[in-house]
Amino acid sequence: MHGYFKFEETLVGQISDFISIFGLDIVLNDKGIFTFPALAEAKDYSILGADYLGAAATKTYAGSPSDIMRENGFVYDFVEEEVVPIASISKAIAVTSSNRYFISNGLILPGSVTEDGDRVTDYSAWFYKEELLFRYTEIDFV
Amino acid sequence: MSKILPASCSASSVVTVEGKGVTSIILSAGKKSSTGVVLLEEGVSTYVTSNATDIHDLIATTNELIQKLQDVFTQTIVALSALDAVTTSPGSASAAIALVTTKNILVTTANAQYVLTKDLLK
Repeated sequence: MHGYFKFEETLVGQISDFISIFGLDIVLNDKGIFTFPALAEAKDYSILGADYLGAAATKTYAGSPSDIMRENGFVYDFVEEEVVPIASISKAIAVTSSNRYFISNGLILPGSVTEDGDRVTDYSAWFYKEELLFRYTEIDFV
Repeated sequence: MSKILPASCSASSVVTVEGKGVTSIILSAGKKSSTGVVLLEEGVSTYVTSNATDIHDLIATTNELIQKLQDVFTQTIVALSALDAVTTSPGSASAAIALVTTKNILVTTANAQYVLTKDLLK
């Protein structure tokens, strides 16, 4: 959600499996949300010029961490493990539309740009362990 | 979602949160430095301070003014009593009149401070 990641499991152990498969560290924060360690302490407000998860906030705003990320133009780069301006992401991706979902190679890095020049802001995805495949039920662009 | 954060406001109406200036609606006068809170509702910031010390100062200044007025009345009574006691020349009242004049100056000064307090509300 606007570069803020929230993982959910439908069966106990799925997130552990996900961590094992991808080597991505995911933690449960004090609000009961599975997310990346760098996002675990995300505050529900930002102050213009003050630090927000390692980046200088561009706006004073109160809202959910995903709201804060959107309003400040931030995304979480899980490769570099840092919060960055969305415009700094230059990764190109291909998104294929299927009947009921979209397919892309791996977990999409927020801010990635499609062949059409659209930049990914939000998405919802299901991970299929057996196929090692992500199916995206929703992808939003700017 | 809204958030309440500790904040301060300078005498020049600059609201600061976590060391950064935040453009805010200031519900009080904002003409004297203060501490308070910022109510942050999405992108709108509103600063609220406690006026308790303003009121405390106002009461103290008003109290001082009243005491000065009491002195004026007392000295006026002394002066009038002296005048009432003489049958020919009221010359003995001149010292009392001087005292009343002095007290009147003090009342004027205290009143100026009273007005200043009003103009410096947080």
